[in-house]
Amino acid sequence: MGLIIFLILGILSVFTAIAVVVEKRPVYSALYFIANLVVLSLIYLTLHSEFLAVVQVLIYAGAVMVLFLFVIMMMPPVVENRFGKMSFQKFLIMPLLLIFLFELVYVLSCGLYASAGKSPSSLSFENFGGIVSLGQLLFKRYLVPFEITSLILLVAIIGAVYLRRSEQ
Amino acid sequence: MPKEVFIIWLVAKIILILLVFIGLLLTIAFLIYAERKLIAFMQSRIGPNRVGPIGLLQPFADITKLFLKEDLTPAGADRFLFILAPCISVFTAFMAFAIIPFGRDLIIHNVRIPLQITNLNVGVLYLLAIFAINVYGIVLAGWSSNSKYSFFGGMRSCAQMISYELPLGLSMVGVLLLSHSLSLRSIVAAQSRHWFILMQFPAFIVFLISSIAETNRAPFDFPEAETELVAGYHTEYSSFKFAMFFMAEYASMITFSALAVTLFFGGWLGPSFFPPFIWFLLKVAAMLFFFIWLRATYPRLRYDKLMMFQWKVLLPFSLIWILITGAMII
Repeated sequence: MGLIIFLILGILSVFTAIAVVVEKRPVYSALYFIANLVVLSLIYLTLHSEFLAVVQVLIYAGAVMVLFLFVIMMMPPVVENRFGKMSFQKFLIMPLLLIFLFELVYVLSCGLYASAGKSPSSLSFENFGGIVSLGQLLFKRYLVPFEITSLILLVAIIGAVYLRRSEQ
Repeated sequence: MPKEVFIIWLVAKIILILLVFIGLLLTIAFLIYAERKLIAFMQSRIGPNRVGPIGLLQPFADITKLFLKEDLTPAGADRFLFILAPCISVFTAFMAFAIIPFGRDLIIHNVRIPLQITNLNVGVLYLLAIFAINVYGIVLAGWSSNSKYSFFGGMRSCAQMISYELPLGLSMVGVLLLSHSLSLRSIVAAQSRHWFILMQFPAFIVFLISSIAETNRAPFDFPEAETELVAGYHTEYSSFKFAMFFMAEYASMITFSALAVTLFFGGWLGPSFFPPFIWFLLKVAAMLFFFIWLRATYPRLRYDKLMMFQWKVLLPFSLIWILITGAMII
C-alpha cells in the first residue's frame, strides 16, 4: 500500500517537475511548480512528518509562489524565444548536470551506507517530525545556528527595503 | 482495531462527512437568505418575501436560477484556469471545515466517534495552509478572465489576503501558547475552565479584523468593490461558476466563525441545559450575525489605508501581544 502511494506520488512529482521546465506559458509553469510542492508535501505526509508537509504548503505554495505568480501575471501570456540570448547556457548545462548527478549519487550512497546497519526504529525517535520534537531541537541543540539564520533573514529584509527606497 | 469496531468507525465517519457537507451547503443557502433579510431589516426594507412563506424558499429559487443561466466564457480567456479557479475556491473553503470539532465524542457500541471529521496534530497550521491556497482561486480567476476589472480585483485581493494572513496567524499564537497544542480538539478541551477570550481579547480583535479581510467581506471587500471594479475578480463569471465563488465566500465565512468560536469562545463547551452541538451552533450563529451586522454598518475603507493599517498597526500590535502573552505565562 505504502509503495503504491509512493509510486503514484513519485511519478506525479517527476511529471510536474519536468512540466515546470518544458511548459511554454509562464503562468502554467508556476502552477506546475505549485503542484509539485503540493505533491512533495503529500510525500512528507506519508513519512509521518505532518509539520513539514503543512509548512511546505504554507511557506512555498502560500507565500513564495503567490508572489512569483503575482509578477508572472504582469507578463504576456506566452514568452517567445526564451533561449535566444544566452546560448552558452546549453553548453554549460551538461557539465553542471553531471556534477549534480554525481553529488546526488554520492549523498544517497553515503546515507544508505550510514543507515545500513540500523533498523528504521533506531533512526526515528518518539514523536518524530512533530512540532514538539522539532521545537526541542531548534531551541536547544541548534539554538545558535537558528538564531544566526533569523538574523541573516532580518538583514536581508532590511536590505530589500533599503534598496527599494533608494531607487525612488 | 478489531474488524467490527473498524467497520462501525468507518461507516460513522462516512455518515459524518456526508452530514457535515450537506449541513454546510444548507447553512450556506440559508445564510444568504438570512443576510438579505437581516440587512433589509437594518435598512428598513422588507427583503425577500415572494418565494414560499416569508421568502424562505428564496435560496432554492436562486440556486435554480443560477443553474439555468447561460454559462459564458469571455473571448481570450484561458479556458482551463477559468474553470479551475472557482473549483479551487470551493474546494479550499470546504476543506478548511474538516478539522473543526463540533461536539462531544459519540459512543456507539463502545466505539468512540469524535464529532470532527479529522483531528490533525498540526491543526491550526493546516488551516493557515488551506487559507494560503485559497488565494490562488481568486488570483487565477482575475488573470484568466482576460478583463481589466477582473485582473485588478485579483491583484488587489492577492495583496490583501497575503498581508492579512500574517496577523491572522499571529493572533492565534496567544491561544496556542495558552493551550500548549496546535490541535483544535485540545484547544477546546483547554477552555473547560474559562474561555480564551477573557485572556486574549486583543488577539481576538486582531483575529476578527483579519478574518473579515481574508473572507473579502464588507467593509474590506475591495476585490469586488462594485463602485470601482464592477464585481472584481468574478466580473466575467456567470451561471454555476459564479455560484461556486458565492458558495466559497459564504463557506469561508462559516469556517472563520467556527474557528473563532473554537479558538476564543470555548467551542462546543457550555452549560448543560443545551447539548454541546446546540451550543456550537448558537455560538457560530452569533458570529455569523456579527459578520452580517458589520456589512450593514460600515462603509468600504480606502484600499491604501487598509494595507497601511495592516503593516503599520496590526502586525506590530500582534507581535507585541505575543510578547505580553509569553510574559504572562512565564
